[in-house]
Amino acid sequence: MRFPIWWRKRRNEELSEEIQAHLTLAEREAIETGQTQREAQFAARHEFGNVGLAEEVTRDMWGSRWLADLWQDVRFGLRMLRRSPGFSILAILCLTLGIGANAAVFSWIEGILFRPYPAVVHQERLMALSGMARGETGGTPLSWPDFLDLQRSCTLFDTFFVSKIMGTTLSIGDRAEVTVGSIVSANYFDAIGVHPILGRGFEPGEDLGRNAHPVTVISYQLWKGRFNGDPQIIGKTQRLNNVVHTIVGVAPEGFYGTFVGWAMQFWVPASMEEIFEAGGYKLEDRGALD
Amino acid sequence: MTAPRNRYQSRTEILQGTLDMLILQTLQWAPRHGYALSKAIRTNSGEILKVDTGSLYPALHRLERKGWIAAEWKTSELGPRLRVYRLTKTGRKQLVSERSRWQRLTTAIAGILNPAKKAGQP
Repeated sequence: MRFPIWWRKRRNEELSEEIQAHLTLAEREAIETGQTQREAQFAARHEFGNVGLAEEVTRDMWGSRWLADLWQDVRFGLRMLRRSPGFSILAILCLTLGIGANAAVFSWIEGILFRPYPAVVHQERLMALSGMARGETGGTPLSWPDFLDLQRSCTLFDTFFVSKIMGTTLSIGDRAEVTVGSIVSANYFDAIGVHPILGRGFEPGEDLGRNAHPVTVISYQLWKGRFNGDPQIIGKTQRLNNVVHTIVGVAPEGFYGTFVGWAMQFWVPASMEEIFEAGGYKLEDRGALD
Repeated sequence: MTAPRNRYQSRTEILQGTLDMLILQTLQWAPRHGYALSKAIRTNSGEILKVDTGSLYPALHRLERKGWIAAEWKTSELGPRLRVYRLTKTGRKQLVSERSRWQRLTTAIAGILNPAKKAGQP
């Protein structure tokens, strides 16, 4: 294959040669009719018209002008950049910042709006459900008995799960810290398709019975940060709001729960609700709006 | 100087769209280079038609790209190397179709200019 630029250069030279030959022949003929060399040359040029324009228009017929123009533009652009380095640096800086900011915003949008819950499968099928009370605008929270009813009777969804955010005091050994976690229904990890890398998720029934199941699944960061990635972690305990919980699982890396903008450190089944919330045990109260 | 000038001024521009046909027609019997081609058109038209060189070379290269004519560099006894064009097989077919199109066009125009002579009209 011929390299287009070289090919074009050769064709340009040939075109010039072709037109020059035309002029030479015309000139020679004019001399034969008795004109002087100068007159003949002038007459031939005059007759031909604008040589540059003719060449230009002829080149258009080759059909690859855009390529030549592009090449010319690129070279011109580079020359201009080199000629005024200050402006070039400024322009490049502006573009860099602009593109960078755009990329940041778009990845942010991606994270917040389109895939807000890392590691959760089928995020596009996640729906938030809330109740509505007569006479009130907006949604109201549902009670636990409402949830159980929905889970039993509603066939619109594959499954229902509950997830509630709360802060708590986490004590390991003699160190305590305020941390954030979720109270969830027992089917939580199965419903969102997240499988603990150690141990297990919650078992059916672990969300039933007042304070009956003091078990917890901890986050990958907590496991790494507070337990030094202890491979024997399952079965060990930590105190949450001063109640001893048995660690039954470690969530996979990159899973932060299902609250946008929060990184959950642990999950407990709904049966432990009373430990984490003021206002007592609410799982049997249909009127409890929480 | 006066005689050629008058001759030059009395020349007519080639009708738009007919240059291709004229080139193909002129190349029909023998290959020619650009200058010879423009001279032949001028001579064969009785010095009436003037080929504008600004459109001759674009037309030649366009026809070459379409494959109707082919070009070849030839050295001549005249001195400069010349690019000589010849009609190709598809060019010959194209010429036939352009000629019949031209024929229809002139017949139609003649019919408009001389309506009385048209056969079958009362």
